[in-house]
Amino acid sequence: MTQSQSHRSRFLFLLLATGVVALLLAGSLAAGDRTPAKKSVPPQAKDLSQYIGAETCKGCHEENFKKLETTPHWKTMLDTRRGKEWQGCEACHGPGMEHMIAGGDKSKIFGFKGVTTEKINARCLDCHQYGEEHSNFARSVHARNNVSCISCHSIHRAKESQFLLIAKQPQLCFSCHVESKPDFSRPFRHRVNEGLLKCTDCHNQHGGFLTKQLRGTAAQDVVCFKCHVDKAGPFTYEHHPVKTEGCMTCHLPHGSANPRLLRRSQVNLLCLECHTLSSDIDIPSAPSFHNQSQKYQACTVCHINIHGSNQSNVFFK
Amino acid sequence: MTLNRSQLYWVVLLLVIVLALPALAQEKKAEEKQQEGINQGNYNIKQTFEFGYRWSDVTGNRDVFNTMVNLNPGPRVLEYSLEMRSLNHEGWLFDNFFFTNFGYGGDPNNVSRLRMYKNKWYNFSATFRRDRNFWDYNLLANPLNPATPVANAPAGFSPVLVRSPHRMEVSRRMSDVNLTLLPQSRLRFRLGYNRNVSDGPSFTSFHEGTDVLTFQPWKTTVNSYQFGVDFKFLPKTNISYDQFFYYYKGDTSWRNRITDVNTTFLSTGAPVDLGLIFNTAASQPCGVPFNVSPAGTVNPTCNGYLTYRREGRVRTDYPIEQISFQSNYFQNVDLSGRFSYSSSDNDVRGYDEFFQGLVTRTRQRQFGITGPSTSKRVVATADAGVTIHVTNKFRIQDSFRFNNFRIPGLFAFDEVSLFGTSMIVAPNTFTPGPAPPASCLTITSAGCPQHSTSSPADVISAVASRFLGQNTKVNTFDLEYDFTRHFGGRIGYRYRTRRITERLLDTEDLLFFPTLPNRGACAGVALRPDGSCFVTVEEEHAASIRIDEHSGLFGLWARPNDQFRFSFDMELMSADNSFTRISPRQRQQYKSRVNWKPLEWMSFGFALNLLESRNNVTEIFHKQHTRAVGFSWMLEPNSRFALDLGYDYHHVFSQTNICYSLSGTPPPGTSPCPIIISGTSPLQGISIYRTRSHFGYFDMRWQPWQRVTTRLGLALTRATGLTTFLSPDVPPGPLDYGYYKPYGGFEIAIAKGFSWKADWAFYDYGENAVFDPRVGVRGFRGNQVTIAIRNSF
Repeated sequence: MTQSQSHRSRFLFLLLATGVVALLLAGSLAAGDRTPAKKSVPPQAKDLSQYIGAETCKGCHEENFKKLETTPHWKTMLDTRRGKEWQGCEACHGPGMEHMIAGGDKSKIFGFKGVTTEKINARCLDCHQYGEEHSNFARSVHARNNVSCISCHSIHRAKESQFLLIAKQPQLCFSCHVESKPDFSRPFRHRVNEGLLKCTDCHNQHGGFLTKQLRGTAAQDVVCFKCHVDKAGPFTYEHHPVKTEGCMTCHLPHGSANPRLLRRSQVNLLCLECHTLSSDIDIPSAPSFHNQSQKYQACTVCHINIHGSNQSNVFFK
Repeated sequence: MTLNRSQLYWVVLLLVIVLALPALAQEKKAEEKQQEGINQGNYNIKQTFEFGYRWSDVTGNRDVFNTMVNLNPGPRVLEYSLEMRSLNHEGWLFDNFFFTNFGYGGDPNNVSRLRMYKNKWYNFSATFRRDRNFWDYNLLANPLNPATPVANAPAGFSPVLVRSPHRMEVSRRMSDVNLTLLPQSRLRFRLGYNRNVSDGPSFTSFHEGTDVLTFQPWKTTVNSYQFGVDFKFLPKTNISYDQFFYYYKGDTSWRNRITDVNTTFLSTGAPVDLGLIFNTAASQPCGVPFNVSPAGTVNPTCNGYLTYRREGRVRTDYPIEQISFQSNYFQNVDLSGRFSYSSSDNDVRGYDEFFQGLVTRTRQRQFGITGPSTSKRVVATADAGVTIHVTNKFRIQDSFRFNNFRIPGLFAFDEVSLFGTSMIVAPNTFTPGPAPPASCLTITSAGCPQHSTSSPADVISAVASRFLGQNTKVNTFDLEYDFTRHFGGRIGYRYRTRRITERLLDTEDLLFFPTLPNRGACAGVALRPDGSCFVTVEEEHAASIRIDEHSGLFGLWARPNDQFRFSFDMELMSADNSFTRISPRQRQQYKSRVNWKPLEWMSFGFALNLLESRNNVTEIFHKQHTRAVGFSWMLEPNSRFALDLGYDYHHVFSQTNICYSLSGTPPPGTSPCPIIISGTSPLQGISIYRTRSHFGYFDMRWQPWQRVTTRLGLALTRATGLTTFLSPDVPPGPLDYGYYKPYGGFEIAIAKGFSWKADWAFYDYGENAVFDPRVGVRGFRGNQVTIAIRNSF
């Protein structure tokens, strides 16, 4: 490690340590919060007499009731097994008795406006967290950035009847991920705008164990291989970075100005960036007979099976 | 002042913004107009059907148009959707049914999605997608042959390739079927089936002597099956077991299609393929490819292919077992985890490769290779995540991932070659025995195989063994604190360690026949009685690398009210090693997003994404960054008007020190490479890649009258860039391009549920490069008009 690297590491460590201390101090000072943890305020009250039933709610909230009737959440009305507290409007909003007696006082019932994201998510996850799709939502990038379930879903005013989304994909995703939108309008791109793919085909919007909320294949390989099956291998001769570093070493997955979604406009330059002999990296360099002025402009004219081969150690076949 | 096309589009974009401003005055909440559907029996049914015809007029390079757009004329099912909902939620077969389709009739993308469910009995979903991938962008494989005629070439022969040698028209059909039984019960079952079939004609190239165009009828198939069961017997806990089976079939084969391009003949009349690369000064395919007499016939001592084929069925099966769980059993603790194991077997059956022609460097006139190739991929993965809610405002999170894979592979093959110096002379053969055969009594006899010092062994029997393994452990630890309900932050640390192991062991039994039996690996080895030479060669190599990465994580969010959300994420990574030269040792990523909805019908979005990564060590000097900033503005003041517009700027930069061989004039700033590759002293220089792109768009919907809805939009991308050119012959490609897509249309309601639609779209792609006849024009302009009838109820 060089001296400058050592200094950088120390700086990084100090920065982190200072940050941790600062955050903990701020945390302990702010609001003097000593409230024991309660992941959510459960909608379920123990006193079942506090539940008035959805038909009663309909008296004042007829429009919402009618909307609910057209959504999958209506199935809670039919599930009598778990009790009144898990049925209809009160399954999400909690017991309605006090709210009704108070003449519709909003403070007497759980509303989804003006409450913390954590509380909103906890309400939804009470039913929806079981199963791999939602089981990591609390640790997802979305949840950690204060994106709640109702940022994308609307129970009463969904524009997409499937999954009760507030907008169609990919427009819904682009409303926050503004910087990703142009990638799908580039000359070479994955067909997301065209409707062939959805953002959620590759990313689990509800979080997972991989960075960038990426999905994987069942074999715990990169999600790219779900469609690009011929690149998955295993191969006798693997192009090692494909398996160790991932497809994004050479490709831009959303879209690129360069053919084949490559990171560079010239294949040879991309190859030479790695295949140059270096003292401490065990990567074969381009041999001397690869004269760059003798029509060898694209390595992949010869090294065609660059993702891996069963017969050629130099990926000729 | 005159405006060029790019400026004109930008002016249009600005005009739209200005013209849209009056809409702000109409502060009226959008009134949603929902499709009501009809009630029939116990179901509410909604259906939409849109059928039309598209006219298309494309000028410029149609192949590039088809590569990027591929929308062609013809009748089309533009949309068909059916939605059925049980009125009492107790339908006989299903409670809800969704079926959507588009693109049928010839469009490159056809999609059908079906989803149906019956309350507590089942959930069923099925998807079919077809992607017709046309590719003919003549850059990646363009060997840049000279536009000047080749001396003595037959009439009509041109070495210029106007189409990509790697063109293809492959169709990928993907089907996914999933069924969940008893979705609300404590014991539920999941079944899944996926099928992925790719097939279609394609071309590729094969290098041996020269590079020949090879026809590659593409055919791959994957069938995968899933069976899963979820147990919810413990309170607030779900345990799942899944068994997957994945079966891959690769039936692609390769065959040289001599008659496809530039058919040339030997003086014997036999067709011969001289290959894709013409650089006679560098003896590609040779110095003088064509004879003066007989005029236009191929020089038989040139690199050439009389025939080439390769085939071998690939079969891979993956059984995968997975156990996962999710639990809130313990108060204030969320747990989730997953463990999976898979072991695949890959087997290439009946591999057979055959070549006939001439490779001048080795004098191979014919070779055949056969033998099995097998490999495995064994993966064990374990994931675990925990969130501890210490207080209502403070959470501790930890996520751990272990992934270990190993890929051993083996190729055991036999290769037999015949040697000669001319394609019109049959190669001499050698028959091994107790004494030299009569045709090859001495090792220099003219009746012997005509080897050169570069000729490989006549008979090779080899076993090549490879191994790649990686053991990865990642742990992410986060402390999250909500200072108020409007503001929170987190700080964390991620540690990732990887150990990558590579091994190879090659064993080759080599049998060299005269002439020159002591060539290559047999140099200095005693000859056998029949004059041949036998040697066994072994090569062994093993390497292992460990990489430790430390990342500091920091994030903030603010939500002063329900209408405004701000977030900021930062990740600083430092690694002590790198596996490739461009794998970063330091990486910083900063992301910020703002969403503001000042009015119910108006929202703004802003995003900033900065990614800096470096492997800036001696000999490599790799630095790269991607900087993107963009905003969007959406408004829908009433049901009659909606506008969505935005702008984005991307800047990508990369530099890496590279070494390369070059016989021409070196680019400025080069110097001798400090590490010498055998043979020549290569050059070194910093390879630069930089692009800046501007992207702007708007999409406007306006309903001036009750029966008329209009739509107007534009998406434009303008990019400029620069890169290192090692040779002046290299085409710049799409470094500097403009891609403009204006569109518009209107819909007239004819009767209740019926409307008539007319849409126009214009695709304008152009590269601002100096015209090069070897590459041709890669731009296009496509005008498309679609007339359709839409019926919805």
